[in-house]
Amino acid sequence: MKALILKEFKDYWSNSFGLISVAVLLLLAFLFLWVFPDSNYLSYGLAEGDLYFQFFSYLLLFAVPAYTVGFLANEYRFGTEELLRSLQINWRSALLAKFVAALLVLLMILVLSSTHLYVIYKLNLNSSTIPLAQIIGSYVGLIGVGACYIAISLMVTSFVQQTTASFVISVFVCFMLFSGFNLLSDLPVFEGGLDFWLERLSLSYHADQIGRGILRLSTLVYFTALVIWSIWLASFRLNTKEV
Amino acid sequence: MKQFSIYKVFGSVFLLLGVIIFSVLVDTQWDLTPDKRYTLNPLAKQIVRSTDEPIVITVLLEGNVPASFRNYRAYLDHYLSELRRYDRDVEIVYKDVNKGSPEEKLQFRKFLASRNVVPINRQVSSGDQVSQELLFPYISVHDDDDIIFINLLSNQQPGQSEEEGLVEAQLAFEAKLLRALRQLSKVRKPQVHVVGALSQLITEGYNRDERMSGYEFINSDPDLLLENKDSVDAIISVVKKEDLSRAELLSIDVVSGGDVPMIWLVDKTQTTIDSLRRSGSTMAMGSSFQFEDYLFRTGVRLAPELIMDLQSSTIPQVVNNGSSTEQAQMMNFPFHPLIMSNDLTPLAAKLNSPVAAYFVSPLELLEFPQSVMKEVLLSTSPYTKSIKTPRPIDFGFMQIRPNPEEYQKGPLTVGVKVEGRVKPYFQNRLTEDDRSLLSKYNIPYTLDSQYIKQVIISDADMAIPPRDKQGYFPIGYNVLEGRMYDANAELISNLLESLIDGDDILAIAQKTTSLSLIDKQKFYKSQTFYYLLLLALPLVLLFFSYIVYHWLRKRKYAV
Repeated sequence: MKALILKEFKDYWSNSFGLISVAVLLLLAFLFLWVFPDSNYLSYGLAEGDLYFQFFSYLLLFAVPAYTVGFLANEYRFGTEELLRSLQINWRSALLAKFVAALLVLLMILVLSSTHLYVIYKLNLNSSTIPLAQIIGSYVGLIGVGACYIAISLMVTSFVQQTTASFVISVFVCFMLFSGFNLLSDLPVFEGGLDFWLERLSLSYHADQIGRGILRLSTLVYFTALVIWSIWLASFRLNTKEV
Repeated sequence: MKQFSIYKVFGSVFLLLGVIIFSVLVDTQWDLTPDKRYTLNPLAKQIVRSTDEPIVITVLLEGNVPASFRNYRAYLDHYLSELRRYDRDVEIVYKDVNKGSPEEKLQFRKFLASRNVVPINRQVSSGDQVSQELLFPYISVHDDDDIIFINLLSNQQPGQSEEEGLVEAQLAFEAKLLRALRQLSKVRKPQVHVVGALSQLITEGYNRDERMSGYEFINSDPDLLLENKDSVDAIISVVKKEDLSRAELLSIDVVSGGDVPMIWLVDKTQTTIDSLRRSGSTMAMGSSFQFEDYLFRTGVRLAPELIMDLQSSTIPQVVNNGSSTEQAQMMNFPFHPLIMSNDLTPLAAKLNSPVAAYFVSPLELLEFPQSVMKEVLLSTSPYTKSIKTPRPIDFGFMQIRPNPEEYQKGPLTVGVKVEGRVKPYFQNRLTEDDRSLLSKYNIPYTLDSQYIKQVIISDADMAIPPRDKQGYFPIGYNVLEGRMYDANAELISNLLESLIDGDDILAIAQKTTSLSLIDKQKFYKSQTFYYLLLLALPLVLLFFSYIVYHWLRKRKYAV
């Protein structure tokens, strides 16, 4: 398992795509959080981490499928899928390895972007103490959001072999999960009834909560259940796929 | 080989939904913010539980809001959804006032204007477009009978940035909402009887003021007070020039002695800025009122002195600037001190600004009686002196710069709360007229000790709504400066709330937050350094790791 994870992680860095995509991501974060008017921290005015965490929830919506679909799509592209089958490697283990490798890439992005949080709390007008519990909680949540995106992207790629199509569908599914239920809950027909449940089915609701430093049991269950379900569905699909 | 079964997939989706729904039903939250700002206060739960009818909370701060409002807006969303999660009888509605047909918008805005809901104009950007938009920073709370509008903003203080004002407003929100919910849960508004020569002026001004909308002020007299003895929730007595009549004092003694709280706002000296400005000089005279004797038994004495404070409001003065022309200039007038509240007590704490007072006398707190607890609520700044009355005063002292050495008397008490047991004031003093007044309402005069809860403030003007030929100004409006002192009305409203309902909501209003503003100046001063930290450092680390990884790999596989 460890070897599989390492293999996937190294594969990601073996070409310049990985490097450029992370660099673009960091550049976008910098522009949106500190340069572009209205979305930047100086217009926001508060030395709070919530804007950073919320922005990254959105950014990862595109970034995570972009690099995750490659983990599985490359197996189809290079024909190594056949090799995996012949080696009698359990698809669940292979998917878990890809999931963990993608999670490691995500962690690396978050570590590199942590300078934003350092600057935010350094610029705090009243105190220079960093609310560690709040930040750790919010990071746990953001990793949870990213893990959901990864699992969904792997699940979509298990059904759609073509890389571009897989990316577009993954982004669409992630977006629907992120904002779709939330937008539905705003419809007048659901007001005062189903809107409550639709909102809680939305990933953006949970992302928003943890971004502010509120960790919920339902959020942890939501992330875990969604990840397990997506990986299970992907492995079910691959195990039952006719060659 | 296993077959792909669509039924299995659907089954797993239902299982997933079931797990998520179950987790929401048994949900619990950990608020990781240092100030626990997203946790519903136990008092909020208690107040929401006590409301019998379904409550609808309508948020009017909708649509495109400026960036600086986003955190507050998100906090509002979270707080209200928590309230709804706790009690499903609370319905949250979001209404964008700027949406709808022109007729609908006009009609709704007219309704809002009739309830003193006034919009603010803010620049908002949407994509590339920047536009001016009318924002209604209000929420309304209503049940079947009543509707209350809550202003989400606090009054911005001079020199305060919008962001600072928003943080302060966010802190004050919970207390405002709880106050409104408590008001809705009551069968009727608390009745506050106003007694004294100025009662009509006060009653009209207070009943018109939205900030006092939680109470019904009644222009009272001895008969009305005694007749409604059991429904009186509080008494306010404002004494300026005319003393209270014996009948008024007797009715106050009977009703307030029956555990009804009371606020005294009294002037010891008869001096006004009008008389001083009219003739250039006036005689500051101390009066001797009957009610002073009444207050004395609680261990509080009005000193026959006038306070001069370096921290004061201003008045316009004509000054000669050296040339032949004369100019009006705003100058500090030490007889109009700006009073500070004692932050240690919720009763008068968290006033947004100092209370503007006018010709104030110090209060002396005596050692006796032991049965009465005295708590200082309001005091002057430390830079004070007091002058004995009677004494002529004019504007002459304003020609020279005040010498701080003369103003070293320290903070002087001007507001105090007294609570405890005292002897009935009219014991062994009842006349035939007194007896006949009481017998008219079948009230026996108690000879047992009375439990009193009263606040004494040695300035009447601070609570009187100013008036001119055009009509009333709101409470706290300083006509000479043309400026509002919101703390004057907040003080009276806080005192009434504390005396009638207790300090629980006021204690919430006192909470502090860990929310803090970004130091923009610090950022702009070292902008390059921060840009390097935010962009260059992560990129350098990324490229460096990439190069090292590939160099190691190359070396490993080198032939």
